[in-house]
Amino acid sequence: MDNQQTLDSFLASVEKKAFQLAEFAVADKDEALDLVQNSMIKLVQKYSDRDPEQWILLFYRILHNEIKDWKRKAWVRGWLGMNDDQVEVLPDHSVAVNPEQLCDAEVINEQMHKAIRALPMRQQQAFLLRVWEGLDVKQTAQVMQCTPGSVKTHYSRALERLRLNLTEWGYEA
Amino acid sequence: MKHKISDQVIEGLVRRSLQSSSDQLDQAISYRLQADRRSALQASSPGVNPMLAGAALASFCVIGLLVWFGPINSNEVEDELYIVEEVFQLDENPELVEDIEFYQWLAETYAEPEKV
Repeated sequence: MDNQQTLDSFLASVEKKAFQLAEFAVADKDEALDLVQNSMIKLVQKYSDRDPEQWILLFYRILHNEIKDWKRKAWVRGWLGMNDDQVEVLPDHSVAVNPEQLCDAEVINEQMHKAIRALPMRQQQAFLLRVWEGLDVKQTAQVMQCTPGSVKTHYSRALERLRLNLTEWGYEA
Repeated sequence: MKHKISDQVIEGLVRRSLQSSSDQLDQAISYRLQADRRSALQASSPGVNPMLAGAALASFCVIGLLVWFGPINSNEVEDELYIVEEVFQLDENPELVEDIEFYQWLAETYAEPEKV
């Protein structure tokens, strides 16, 4: 398999998860698609000659930086009053759930989505990279450019917050 | 007394929830992702523009001269190292680290140009 095909398979294997990760972070499908597209282009242009085993960390690191830049620009636009449309979606903490509804898988999925979206960005990123992409603590730290200790802290805080949500909703395992 | 919901249960719920939404991604998004992938791969072998290559070489020479003859402010380097060291010691408070990074970025990006 040549490099082009290997890259194609790699990008195909990460694109959906990357889109979900970006969409959770920016709460906008089109913006999330743009961020994933930019990350794909940067990976291909700058790192296609690297060992394919390094691609996953490089790709998520690029995406992480793209999301960070997007958030910063959104913050500045909001601060300067330049936002025509709402960029930052405020977390919805007032989700009323009937405990009986929690037997319904769709309701649980929807609630979990809202809860993940409401996590602070770094907790959300650490949690999704670990649980959804399956990166270990060291790899997640490399992607997020922080120490493994920070990743552990973000991860456990995210878990605690989700546990609190589930308990409030009356979920029983 | 209620049992504490275990980490494994929460992780399992999150995985199931994400897998379900990944399976249900609408076709428009899947097509767009495929198209983005294809265009990224096509952009992987751009030809070298001779004008750009010349400009890059000239910039490289200028930067090289500046680095070679420019003044070295050792205090600045030390200050930066000190900040990095401090940041790594703040392992207990990652939000604060993020705030520091953000305000540094904000200051760098939106700093007023120095008046001469």
